[in-house]
Amino acid sequence: MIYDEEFDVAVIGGGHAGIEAALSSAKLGAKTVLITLDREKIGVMPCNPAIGGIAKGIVVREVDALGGEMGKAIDHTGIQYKTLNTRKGPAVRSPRAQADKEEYRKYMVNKVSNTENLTVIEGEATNIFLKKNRSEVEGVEIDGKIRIRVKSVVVTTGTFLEGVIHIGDKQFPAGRMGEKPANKLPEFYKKSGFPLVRFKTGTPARLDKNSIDFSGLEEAPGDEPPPKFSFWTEPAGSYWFKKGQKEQISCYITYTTPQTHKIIRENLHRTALYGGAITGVGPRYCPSIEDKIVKFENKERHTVWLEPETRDGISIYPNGLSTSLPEEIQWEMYRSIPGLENVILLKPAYAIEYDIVPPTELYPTLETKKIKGLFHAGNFNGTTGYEEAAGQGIVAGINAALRALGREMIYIRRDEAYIGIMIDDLTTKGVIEPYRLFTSRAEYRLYLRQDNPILRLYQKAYNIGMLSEKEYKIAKETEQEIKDWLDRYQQERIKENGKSYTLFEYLKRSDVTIEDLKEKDIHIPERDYVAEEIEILAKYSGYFERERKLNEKMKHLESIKIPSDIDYSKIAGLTKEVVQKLSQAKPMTLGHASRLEGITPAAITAIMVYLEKMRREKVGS
Amino acid sequence: MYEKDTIVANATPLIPSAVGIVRISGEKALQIGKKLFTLPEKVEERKAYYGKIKDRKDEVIDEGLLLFFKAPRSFTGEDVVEIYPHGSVPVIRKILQEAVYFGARLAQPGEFTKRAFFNGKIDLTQAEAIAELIEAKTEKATKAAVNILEGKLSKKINQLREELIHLISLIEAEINFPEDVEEIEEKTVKEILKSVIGRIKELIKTYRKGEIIREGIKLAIVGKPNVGKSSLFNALVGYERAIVSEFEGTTRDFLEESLSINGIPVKLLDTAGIRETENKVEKIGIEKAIQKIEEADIVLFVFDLSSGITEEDIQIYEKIKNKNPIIVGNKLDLALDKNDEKYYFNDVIPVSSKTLQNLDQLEEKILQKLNLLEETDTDIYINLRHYELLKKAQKVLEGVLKNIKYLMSNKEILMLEISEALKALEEITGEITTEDILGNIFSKFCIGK
Repeated sequence: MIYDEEFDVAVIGGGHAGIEAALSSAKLGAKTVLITLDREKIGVMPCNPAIGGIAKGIVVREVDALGGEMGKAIDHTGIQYKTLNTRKGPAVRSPRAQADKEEYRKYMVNKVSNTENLTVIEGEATNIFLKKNRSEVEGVEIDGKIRIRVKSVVVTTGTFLEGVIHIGDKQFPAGRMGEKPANKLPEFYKKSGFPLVRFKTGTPARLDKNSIDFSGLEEAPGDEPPPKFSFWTEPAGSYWFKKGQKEQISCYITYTTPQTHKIIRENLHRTALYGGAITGVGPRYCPSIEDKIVKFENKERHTVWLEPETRDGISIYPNGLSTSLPEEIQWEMYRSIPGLENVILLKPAYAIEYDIVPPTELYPTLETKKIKGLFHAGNFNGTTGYEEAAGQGIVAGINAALRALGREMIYIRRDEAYIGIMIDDLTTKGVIEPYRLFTSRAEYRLYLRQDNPILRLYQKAYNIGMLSEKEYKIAKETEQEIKDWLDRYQQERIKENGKSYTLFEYLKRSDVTIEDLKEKDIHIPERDYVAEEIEILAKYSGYFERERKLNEKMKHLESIKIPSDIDYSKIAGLTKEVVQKLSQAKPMTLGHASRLEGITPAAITAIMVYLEKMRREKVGS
Repeated sequence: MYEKDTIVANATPLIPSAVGIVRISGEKALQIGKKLFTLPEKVEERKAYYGKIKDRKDEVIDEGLLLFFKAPRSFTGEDVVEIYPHGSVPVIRKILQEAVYFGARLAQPGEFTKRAFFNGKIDLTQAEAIAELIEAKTEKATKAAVNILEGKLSKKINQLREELIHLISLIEAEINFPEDVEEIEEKTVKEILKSVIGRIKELIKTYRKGEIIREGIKLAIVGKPNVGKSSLFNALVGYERAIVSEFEGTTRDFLEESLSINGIPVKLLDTAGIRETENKVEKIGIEKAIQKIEEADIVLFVFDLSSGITEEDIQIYEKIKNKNPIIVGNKLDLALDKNDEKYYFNDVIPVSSKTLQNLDQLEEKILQKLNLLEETDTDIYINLRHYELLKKAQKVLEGVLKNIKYLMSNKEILMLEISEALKALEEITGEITTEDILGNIFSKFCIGK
């Protein structure tokens, strides 16, 4: 085949996964092309105008620690910042920010357009070419005519493949509202033997700010000082902005009424989902308002957050009110809510259905098992959320580049980062509904905190080549500073009520904060970040060990590698069904195998014993 | 551990008996069965075939029955063939030899049960129950093992597990959806935990009872010399082994014999007479006796009805009353006033070792003390492994209750604590299991079971 141009890596799609994939690939020195339908739509937020949230905020900081862009972008374009779960411990807190989505988009368009090694081509990726052996990528076709030769391809098509928008009983093909879908690429997947599954998600209407009466509504301001997402944003070396550094805008809170519920109930048959038009599976965790009313019929009211979409614009996002009711009913429904009595809908709410490829087709590197050099990331893997998309995008982009450059690919373990948990869940368990991250998915939740992504990941990121020397130096020095203070606190002592404690032990007490030490004229770290770490490490110190013990077995299983040529049918004690599942899933470690659906502890023991026997036989012979 | 081959073993002990059982399990079970036994071409499952058992030279070894169980509807979950020859040791040995010749391998201890576990036919508590069933010496122990085998313990553990999982999901919902889910009340958490702890304690209580049923009890008999301790002991044991003497101080050795009361094995600790003495040898004996009493589950304090209560009786009684002894008045047959109520003690059981009068009352009293009188068929007796895991769960959950104020504002730690308790419970049924536990459990089996 004759190609028009040659690249190392092609990224298909300019959403939150595609951006991170393209930028990281380019950063590693791979000649990268980003193929997108409309270059001005790079970094668009088609749903809520926010970044972060429980677990998600931690992922953004992990992406940042790995050298990604999302954290920097939201730090530059956010209009309100909060830490969630402050009534609970630091491990389950998480930053969340309202974005000026227009500024965010511009930031990303600008970043992608001005990155070395990165070219943007506008057009639709219509086919992926394979080498003669059908098991390795060779090129990508754009708009059915341009052909580019590549070593790796990252597919991040989000909701675009065979996308169909539903508004009540109306439906039409679209990738996002106002954008055409991509209907050619599914043919490549069908031809190559990949299963395609329909998934669904939805978004609420956008409201005209000037038609809302905010006077009776509860105001929800941002935190001061605001948390930030990137360790590198000024002031670098911290996860906090300075007090007053950010000019913040408030959100407002209102509630649904009995009238809202009545309108929805009466028109349920006209919604796309309950009317039967949508067959795709929607997210349980981000339910439409009709879902909430049907499933929690005893709940008298549901909370609605009115979130500004931009700093100066008129568009308001009513969080909690996504629906697939017909447009005229939407007007009626929204107007039954206090403050929204005279509201004008700028854009109606809609649901969208699209094709995904089950992520069980992937290795933890996010490369497909069937075709070498083909990587998948983002909603196309059945996830939901910009943050989840970015977390996969950066891993896929790094690996696509590493592969193209002839380097060894990486994967992230469950005990290293939420990104590792997500990718492991996706590739082992698969998805039956849009996947989002929760802190409860983490075995090492006390360790995988929002305050330490940089400490957890900087060395790995630097080794790959994702951090600059300057960034590396800051991270390394921070780590050292924390160590020094820990040593010091473990030696210096304090007396209280005749009892002597080390400062570390003293700080461990639930009734003591690091500020208390300051009041007692004890030296505390000057850097807020270091002080915070010392306090958290002291508070959790007894628990890390217990958390580790609780997961000891998993860790052990994780360390047992399964050879790729294993013949499961030879292992006694495995049913035919289990043998089939394992042969298909090709788990890389015993831990990986243990998390597959339908694999019992007994089966794992049987494999463990078999592997041990094989090992002994090898040693013996 | 085991391979995907076919295993064979005798399922009955190698002692002469009317019928023996040889069990073969694995892919080649039927194929080997056909070589060993005259069978039709098509063998139906779960049907008894009568035929001849043959060796490799087609010579008849014996005749008997054969049953075929098709996978997965068999004990091990694999194809299983059971051959029932006469219970002659050389015949069974010969059948084993020939089965091995035809391609089977002699099973290791516990291997059949292990396969059943791996094939998901039984859970860990049930696998243990099989071991206990085989080792059960008494009717009660048998019944207790059967209850666990039927999954009654697993059911209880799973109920507790589900409640903890329910609690965890309530709190996880709150942690993960702080903007949607209201905070759980401390009261609710406490209620759930208290209920779970209560039921864990109930299960823990059964350990002692279970131990008694499996291991039996130790009984000590205490009293001044010549009140008839040895003869009471003999009367209970039912045969004469103890040295009975008309003279004081002749029972010097500890006599440990077993008998069973109502199906419970009883180990009698007969002790040298405890009394004031200047004799050095006797002094040592007396000290040892007092130590021995500490080990006893039940202590009988014996005095002589025919001579009444003496100062010495009371002195001895005072030394051991902390063990809450059963008071036995012996030699009822010689007592002058059989209705004398004016004993020093309130609750005396008058007995006669000679005529065996009222020994039934004494046995009943012993059972009552052991809490063994009310018996229902749902009784479950946990073993040491269960006991330790339940204790661990109890300790963690009680710690949570103690520390609840702090944990309610650090719910991620609360979750860690509850997960620890949950993990302990899951280890009981083998939901989570380690090779060590498996090895430990499965090594207890005899071949072929």
